[in-house]
Amino acid sequence: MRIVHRKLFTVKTSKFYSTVNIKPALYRNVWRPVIGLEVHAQILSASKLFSRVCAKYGAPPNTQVGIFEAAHPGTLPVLNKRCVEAAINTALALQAQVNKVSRFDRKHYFYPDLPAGYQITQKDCPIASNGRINFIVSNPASNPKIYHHSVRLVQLQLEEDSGKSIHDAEFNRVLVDLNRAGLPLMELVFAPELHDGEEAAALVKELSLILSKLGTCSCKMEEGALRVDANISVHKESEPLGERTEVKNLNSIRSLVRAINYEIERQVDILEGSGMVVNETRRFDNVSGKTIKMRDKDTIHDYRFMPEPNLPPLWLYDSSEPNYIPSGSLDINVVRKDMKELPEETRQRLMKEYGISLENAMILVNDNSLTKYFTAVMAQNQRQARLVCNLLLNNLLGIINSLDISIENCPMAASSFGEVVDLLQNGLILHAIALKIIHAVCVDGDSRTPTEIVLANNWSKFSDELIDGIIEQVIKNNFAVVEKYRRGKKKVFKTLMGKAVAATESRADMQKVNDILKNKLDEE
Amino acid sequence: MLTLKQRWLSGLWKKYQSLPLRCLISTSISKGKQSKVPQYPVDPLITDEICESDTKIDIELVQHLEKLSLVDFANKEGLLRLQAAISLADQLRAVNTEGVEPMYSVLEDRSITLAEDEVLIGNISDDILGCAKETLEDYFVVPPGNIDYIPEDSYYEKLKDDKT
Repeated sequence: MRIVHRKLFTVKTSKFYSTVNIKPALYRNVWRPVIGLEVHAQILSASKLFSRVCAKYGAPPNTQVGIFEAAHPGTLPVLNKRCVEAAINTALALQAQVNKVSRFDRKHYFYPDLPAGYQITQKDCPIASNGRINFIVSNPASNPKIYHHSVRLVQLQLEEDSGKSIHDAEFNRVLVDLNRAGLPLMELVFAPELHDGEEAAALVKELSLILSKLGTCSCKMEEGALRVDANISVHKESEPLGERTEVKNLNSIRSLVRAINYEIERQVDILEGSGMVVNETRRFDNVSGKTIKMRDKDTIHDYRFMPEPNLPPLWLYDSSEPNYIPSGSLDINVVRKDMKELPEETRQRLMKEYGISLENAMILVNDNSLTKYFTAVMAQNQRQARLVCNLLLNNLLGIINSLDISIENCPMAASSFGEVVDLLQNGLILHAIALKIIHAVCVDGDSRTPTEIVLANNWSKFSDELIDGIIEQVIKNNFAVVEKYRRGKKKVFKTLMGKAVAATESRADMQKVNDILKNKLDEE
Repeated sequence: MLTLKQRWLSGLWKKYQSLPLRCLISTSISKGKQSKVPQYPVDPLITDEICESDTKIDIELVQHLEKLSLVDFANKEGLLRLQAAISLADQLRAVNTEGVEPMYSVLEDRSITLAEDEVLIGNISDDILGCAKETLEDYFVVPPGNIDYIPEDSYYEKLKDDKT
């Protein structure tokens, strides 16, 4: 099933851009970096994974802690339906196989932010496995071409988050907040099929677009809703994979890229100095831009995995299969029917429906509100997509970005923006005037419609007859210069053109002014 | 005929009887209701001789387990309990399980009951923090982590003496 699906996917995309695998560049001509990612995504839910305690972000310390997260004896886990649905939904979006039976395990740690002394997770029988994420890598620095890459999703598992520890070095103590303890996480384990920081960033960006679209994760990295661990190694092309290191808890795209690139360089330096890379856990220091060995992981952990005795297995069924037996906790097909349009599908649709470029489709799809804005503008009056893209992406976005406003709260409504496009498209105003209108609405807060603004300011484009008259006047007023031109001094054309432009108050099409002036001068 | 599952459970029961832990698992026997757990051994084949453990408990093992569990138990009673626990587990080896798929739990054929995603428990931070030995501005205060377990100098010497 899965392979068939993938084939369909490539056929669909190949129409628009190449799916040819681009060979990743070797590092210092010899070394091939190999990177695998593990992503922890917090599931967007009202309550925690195993208890009905509020899961909102940013509550005062220890106000969202129940007796279960505090590990009081006798408390039992009760699995959250929404979290199972979210995991299935995500798995389906990543073309993964949703397992009909999955189980929970205990992974033991002894940390104060994990009061039970173990985390409930899924190790051997996760809820989903064998998926794939397709994404577009655009990294002008190392590769001028935009290319398509695809990485296997090894497994997707449900697990609970731990609490937060604040280290108080001054008083040699640790402060613990258990609000985060027990929050639902999806751990997504990807195969080591990436080759540099940019590819890793592209994967995480696409993943967060998908999860945001599905609504299964807020993907706010600054709130820790999406955390990335990167496994990095380098090897020579003909040799087996090198020893890897793991950089934990990367909480922004930028630090992900920097950490990976730093770690590749560090490992290559070690190997070229005939040293050995040690398998260890490291963390990334934002200030120095370096990865640092983590202190507490130097002893090998004994996680003592064991089946979670308090949770029976999770059985699922799929009513789309022939001869299915409706026994289990959930019907996979109900979740499947609810599937949303995925970012890649939106890109393909925009490109097909409106004939816009992949680059523009990528920018539009990167922000859900922007996609909506664009489609709202395009819905009426047969507007030209290229014109809309240009005015929207280069001009409107530029202005509201400089004002630090998101497209969601854009002062210029899509209908009003569409009116500007119509004026421009019908040749009633010039591009420079369109910018002035956008500026008036967004910056000066002008509440009139674009047409009203144009009329009030006398901004409408000069008609050909009007331009004709003005140039006639310019020729009359500068007769001496015109004579010079006619005697063969073609250089003075620029002077005359300048006069004509000044006379049209920048409200005429420059090319037209140029043509008419030339005609008139050469006429006689 | 008893199923393999029942035989296995009865074996467990027999071993637990000899331990104080018994009280923990026998709570299901309440007013007039018959326990689902067999009260007497079912498989006479599993005898103490068969189950005699060949797992050697040495100081290294005790040290490792103490470090993992952060519990000191290197005394006579503790070692006895450890030995009993290992023997209990060793019984499993005596059971012929050829061709039987391993079980995760006795509720294998049932699925988890899922709960609706709704907040039913409010802020009980006073009760939760009330259990803590030390708090600071509504945080739990704990000692810094990553302290290596360093036993007292004479601890293992004493253990050796205990044994002899």
